[in-house]
Amino acid sequence: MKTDFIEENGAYAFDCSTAVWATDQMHHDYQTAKIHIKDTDLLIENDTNILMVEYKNANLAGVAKPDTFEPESDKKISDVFHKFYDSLPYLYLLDKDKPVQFIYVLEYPNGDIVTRKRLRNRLMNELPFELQKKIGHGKKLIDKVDVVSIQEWNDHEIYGEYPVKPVHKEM
Amino acid sequence: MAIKSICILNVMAFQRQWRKNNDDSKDGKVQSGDTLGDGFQLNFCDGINVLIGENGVGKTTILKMIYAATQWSIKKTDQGKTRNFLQFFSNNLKNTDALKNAANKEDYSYYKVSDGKHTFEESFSHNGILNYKDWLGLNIQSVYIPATEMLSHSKGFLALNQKYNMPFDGTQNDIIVNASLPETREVSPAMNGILEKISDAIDGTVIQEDDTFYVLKKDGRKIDFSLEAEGLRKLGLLWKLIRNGLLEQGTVLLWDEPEANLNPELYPLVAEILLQLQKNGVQIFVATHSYNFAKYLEIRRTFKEQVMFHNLYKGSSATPEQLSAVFTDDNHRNDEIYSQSAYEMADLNPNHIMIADSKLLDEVYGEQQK
Repeated sequence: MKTDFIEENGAYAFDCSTAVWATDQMHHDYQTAKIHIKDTDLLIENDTNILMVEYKNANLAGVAKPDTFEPESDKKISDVFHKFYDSLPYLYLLDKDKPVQFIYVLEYPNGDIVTRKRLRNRLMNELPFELQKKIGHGKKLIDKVDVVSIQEWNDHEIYGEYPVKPVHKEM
Repeated sequence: MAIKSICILNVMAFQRQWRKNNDDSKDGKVQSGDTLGDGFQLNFCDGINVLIGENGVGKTTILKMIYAATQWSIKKTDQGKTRNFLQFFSNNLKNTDALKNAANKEDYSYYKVSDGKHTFEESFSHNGILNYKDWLGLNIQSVYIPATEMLSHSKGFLALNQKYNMPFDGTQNDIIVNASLPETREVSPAMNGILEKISDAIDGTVIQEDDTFYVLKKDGRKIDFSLEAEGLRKLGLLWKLIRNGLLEQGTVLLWDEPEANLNPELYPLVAEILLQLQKNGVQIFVATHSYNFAKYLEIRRTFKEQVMFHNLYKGSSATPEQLSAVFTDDNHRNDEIYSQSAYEMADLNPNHIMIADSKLLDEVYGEQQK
């Protein structure tokens, strides 16, 4: 099983060598099947949960117009929460039915713990927490949503099992 | 010219500290066994310095110390009158004893403000200004805006304050004096732009008639300052200070809790005004409890060095790693005040104004999960 997943900019990689299972193939599989829905960057399975991971790093040198990246804009939030919903069929087909934790790993200029928690709370309102409370009868589509920086991811007791490390490029 | 640093030893909340990294203050031997490096030290930027931290960590004290120092740089200041000096801190201090750290009254109690070349040194142990020979004459013009609004109490205030012992400190007295000064004949185009912004927010301008301040609304109505919303009074005061020519290039503005009584919707306007004043050459010090206000300064600055954050915190909030980085041994106390400075708020830890907002957001999140 592939265990190192390099993010879109090629600067960092998630080390999932201790995961039960992990994949970054959702995008490829949707594209190949000509299904035009959104996807999350990475799925990580541990003993108790599926971590559905979306990653965005607007702090990297060379990222186009990082200052114009507005993660709290309605459009960006809509993009992100749709990724959660559109990824559910993928998990269903793979028979992955552990509770899902949706984690947004986010780096952007002027971002801090408060702005990330504000974003988490806005995402929470768009995710099916309230719905599953009302009609789920104990069945859950989502267990948790979190928005964290790379450092917070690495420092976290559970996420940190799959550390994000800089990719050392050969000269 | 700008205020570059402050050192404080055993004054009020600031206690003695034993620091590892005191290379830049080793020359300040003031008493056998003491060095200035034993004290609290902050290095400022030339732009906007934002002091954050929980209550009781000395933010206002620092602002007042800088204000007192700048007032003593002006030749016309009544020299040697320690009582006047004390009045910047409180109106009813009989001597400097109350300004010494309560847990360490016998030891040297001292603070020093420097512009990098000249120093102002005040000793509360010696009941007088220790050294300001090369400082006096620098004529650093400064304005201190206290957290409490004062202009609505202006009627007869100065005369009464002179005659009776009123419960107001020197900064509160001075702000009325400053606002009562005559307006300058000419205002620079840059300052005019700021005046227009404030004028739009308060829907008029500020005038003073017979010791009383009014907002002269654009439709001609004259509103007594005391009847205006307190947040708008704050903006009105700022308008008057600029109009009176007190916030020009080379001046220092010290503002205690600009956000107090201000609707959060006005935070971006006040942040913009401060950034504009800084661009026009005013060095600024603010103490704030508002994450949102501080964040507006961070995200709206045009260059990183324009705004610097200084986090003051008690030893009880520090992590063991932070304490071991400062101390060689266990000679620290949990109630001592420490500081960190950074250009990004996120780099400050423990950052109490961010911790408070985070806790609220976690509580909102937790409620939704129930």
